[in-house]
Amino acid sequence: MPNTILEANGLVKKFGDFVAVNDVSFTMEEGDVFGLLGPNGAGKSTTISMLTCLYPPNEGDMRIFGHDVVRNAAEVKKLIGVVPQDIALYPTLSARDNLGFFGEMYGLKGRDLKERVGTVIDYVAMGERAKDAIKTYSGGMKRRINLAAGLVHSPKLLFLDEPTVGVDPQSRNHIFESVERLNREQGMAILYTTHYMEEAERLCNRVGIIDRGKIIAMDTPKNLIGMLGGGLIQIGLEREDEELRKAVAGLSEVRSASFAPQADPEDEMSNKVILKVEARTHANAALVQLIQLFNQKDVQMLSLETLEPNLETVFLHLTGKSLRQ
Amino acid sequence: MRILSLLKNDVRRLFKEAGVIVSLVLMPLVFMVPTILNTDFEALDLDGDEKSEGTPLVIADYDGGEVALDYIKELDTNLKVEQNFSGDVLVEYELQNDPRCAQPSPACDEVVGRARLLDGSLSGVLVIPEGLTSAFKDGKHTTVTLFFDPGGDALLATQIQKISQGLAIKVALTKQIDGAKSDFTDLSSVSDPKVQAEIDKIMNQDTSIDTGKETAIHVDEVLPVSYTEKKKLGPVEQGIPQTSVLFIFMLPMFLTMWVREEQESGLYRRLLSTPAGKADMIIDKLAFGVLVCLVQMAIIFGLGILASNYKGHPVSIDIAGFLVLTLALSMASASVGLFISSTRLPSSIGLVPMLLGGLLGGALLFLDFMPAFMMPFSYIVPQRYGMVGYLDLVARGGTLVSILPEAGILCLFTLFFAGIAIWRFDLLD
Repeated sequence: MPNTILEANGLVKKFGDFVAVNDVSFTMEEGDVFGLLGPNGAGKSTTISMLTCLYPPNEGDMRIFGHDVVRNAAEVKKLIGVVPQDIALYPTLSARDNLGFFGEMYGLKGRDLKERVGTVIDYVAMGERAKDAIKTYSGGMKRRINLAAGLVHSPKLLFLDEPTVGVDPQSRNHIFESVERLNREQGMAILYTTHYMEEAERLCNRVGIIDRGKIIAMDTPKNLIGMLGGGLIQIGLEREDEELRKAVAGLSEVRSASFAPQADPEDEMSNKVILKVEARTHANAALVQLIQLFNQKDVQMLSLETLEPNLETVFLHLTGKSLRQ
Repeated sequence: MRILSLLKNDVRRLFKEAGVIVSLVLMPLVFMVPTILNTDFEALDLDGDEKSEGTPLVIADYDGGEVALDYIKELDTNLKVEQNFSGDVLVEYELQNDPRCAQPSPACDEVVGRARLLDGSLSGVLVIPEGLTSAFKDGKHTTVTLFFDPGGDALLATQIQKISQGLAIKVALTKQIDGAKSDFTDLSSVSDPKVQAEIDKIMNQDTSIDTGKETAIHVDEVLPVSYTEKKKLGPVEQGIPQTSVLFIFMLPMFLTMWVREEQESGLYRRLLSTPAGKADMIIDKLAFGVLVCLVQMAIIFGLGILASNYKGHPVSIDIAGFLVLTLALSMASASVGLFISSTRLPSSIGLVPMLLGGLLGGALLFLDFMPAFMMPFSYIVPQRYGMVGYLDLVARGGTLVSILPEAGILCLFTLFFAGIAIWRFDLLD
């Protein structure tokens, strides 16, 4: 029976009148890779900041490995590793000096420190450039050392805050492999935030979709995508037609149909309305029935868009906007 | 331990920043080069054999007796006594045809002294009246007159006044003791022979008062503290403190720059998620700033003094006083840097304390040449206390005790700025 290593209950964080995190609750078990998926400004980093002892929540409580994060921050800090979104490294120092310094911050010294620095440098495959100053590295190489700095003290729970922003495909893939190996070989639990749905789908066994400070859905990626059935079809119409919606919803290949607000008000067809249709088994089968119905009723489609079922589509379905907006 | 690691890391970073090292150490040394190279110390004759140093005092001695001469002799060891004017001085003041100056005389000395007092080239004229010696011997009170310009240099006037008063008391007491000793000898003649023999034994011992040595009765307290200044400040003695105090306040700009870099790159965010806390990071930055300043001052002073010695003008300094004052000044500078870092102001603002404080505190414009309207403002900047303390140590033979007030005020500056910084420091960007 896996143990719960992280519990966040009803977290609220306000900055003045702005509510950055609004009643966020979730748990993590041993060996979990939990993804927080959401667009920029959704509250992912603020949630991580509270969990990594940077600032306390206005409401709610958090426990990591049984320790209260606010009251027992010193114990929590020893058990967690943090890889921030920024390249939080000293640019004029070498990778080895940077990692040595962060190791010392966790109390490592002497031979232990040297060995751990060597291990994590090998882990991110940066041995050849370890003595060079960080400022001479490419963006991807810096990201890899940024990751290594969060691992130097062998944490049990690793927080990765958008670790692939601005990274070339090769380094991005390397980071993915590192995360998978850490989880698979060392059983390290990882909380991973991203706004790239492919990363969440590939790496995370559970995903919380966060928007405007609230977690709006949380499940395995498979179950979340399953919410959409066979896919999503968006049809642009001149006006809302309730009779038409009911007819669409009654089709055998359609699971549900609803009118959604215009996603992009700047669109040249801004006065159109969107009929959002969830396919039951496959979008193509539903599309054939929809075209037949619209022909029969002689209703003009102003636009037609078929969306494959994935986390991006789930987010769109739940919020009416894309992850990159 | 964590603070040591943070400190070690900051030092390591500093060694990678050639530009910062050049600005903190080489630039001040370059500033001092013209001062050192353009100074011909011998030509300036700052402390040559002639008694050109010291505050001049013209004495018009109408008495000419033993007590007056003793008094003048005492004054001459402390001030630059001028008498018996003739020749060019009389021409300069158009007194060559004045009957009082037909030959050197106290009347001529007085008239020359008064003229010099009026044109501001002199701070005091002492007139010793006729009959001083005889009046003293008769046990009568006598008054000497000191003329000075109240609108002139108040410090010099006070100095002359105090020395004149002090030495008058000294001479008077010395003479009185000599007299009392004679009286005592006379009275002893009527005593028991046994007692008389004992008194004779005491009296035969050498109890004469040698005024050239330490006298039995001192009136040192009447001398102003600053009186130990026997010579004018040489350019190097002035240049070393000025350069040091000016450039020690370059640190706030770099400290702010480093803190900004750590804030904006997310380093503090990362560090705060380690077992290190906010206090560790603030103490580290304060300690690092102090360390940088101490090294900076040691190099500037060390090389400045070496260069000065090489030019044949040795500068000595009280090491304990130097260390305490430099530590206090370094803390003040680092705390100013910490204060600016705690604001949202750009790091270039860090130059303001250096330039404005340097201007008001005497590190750019020497305090003695500062316009009177600026003088009150000098008290609100730490540079002033650094300048006064260093000048005391370098030029006036000051010691640890004499610079303690300045060091204390600098510590108050540190408490003020560091206190605000700690209170409002938000390390997260």
